[in-house]
Amino acid sequence: MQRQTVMTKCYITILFILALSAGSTAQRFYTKAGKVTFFSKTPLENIEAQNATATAILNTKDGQVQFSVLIKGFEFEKALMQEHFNENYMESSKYPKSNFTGQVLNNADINYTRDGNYKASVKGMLTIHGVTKEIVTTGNINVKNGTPALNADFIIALADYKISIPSLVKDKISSAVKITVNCILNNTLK
Amino acid sequence: MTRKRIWAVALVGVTVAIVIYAYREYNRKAESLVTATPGYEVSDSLLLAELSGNEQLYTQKYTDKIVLVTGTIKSIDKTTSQVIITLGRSDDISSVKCQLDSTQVLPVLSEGVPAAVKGLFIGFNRDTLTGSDVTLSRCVIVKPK
Repeated sequence: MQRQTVMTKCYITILFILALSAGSTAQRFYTKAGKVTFFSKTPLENIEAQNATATAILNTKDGQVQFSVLIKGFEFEKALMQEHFNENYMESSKYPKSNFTGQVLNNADINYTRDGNYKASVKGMLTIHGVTKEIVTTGNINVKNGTPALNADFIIALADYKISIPSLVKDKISSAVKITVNCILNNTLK
Repeated sequence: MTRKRIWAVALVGVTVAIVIYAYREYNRKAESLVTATPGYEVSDSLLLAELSGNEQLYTQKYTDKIVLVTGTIKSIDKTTSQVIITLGRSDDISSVKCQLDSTQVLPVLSEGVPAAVKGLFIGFNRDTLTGSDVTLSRCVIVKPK
């Protein structure tokens, strides 16, 4: 009887350890060198700026995803455009960061342990210039050697985020710009 | 007649000068920081401690200033067209992120070695999960004296 009780306790302990182990295979991946690009296209001029210091985190267990980027980290080809971008359009002294918090809606369809390119649908709250709006977009999650990479393109209307363009340059800057995200999440959080 | 001609030539000259200035200003590229004098010299750990302790005060102090940061290279990221090196302790998730000036010739860099990096302070990002980071842009590696 005593032996049975000991065996039962052993089984329960083993099951408990296995349950804990199953939970710990899920991981949070992140990068602090994610790339975010914005692109404005008009007949007069195309303007592109890149930021290679975005922070991005993905929880592969529940699909929660977060991005954070410093506005002053966007680099332009022309210094004057960068100055106007920060001082006049984005007011980066007042609103130094932009961030996104959301969810991969079809996270269950993505096998993070198997290399491949998986279509992803993401929904969340995007904050730019102090204004927060819900966005839904599609992208893909590329898994290579167990490392996920997030890639997405989406369009935002500047007016939605109260970004006003002076009439003097309104023909040079599109009212809607394309945001491209490319982040290889090559770090893990314990 | 001569006076009128002088005024006309002067007006044309001023107009041409303005047009040239406007063209050069419009197409001006960001200046390299290679010969720039830093406003501050600070270690990576002190910089992170200052900003973690009082973000508002030290963000105001350093924003848009050229800062020379000394520390150990924790990582080198070349996954994008821009090279990002981070300075900091290997046991600390927080770091100083340095976006290197892509127009400069990149010196040979290795993880785990001391480095001095001069760059423009553009911000501090506090994150409870991934640690807090200082970001510098247009960075150049400073050779030891």
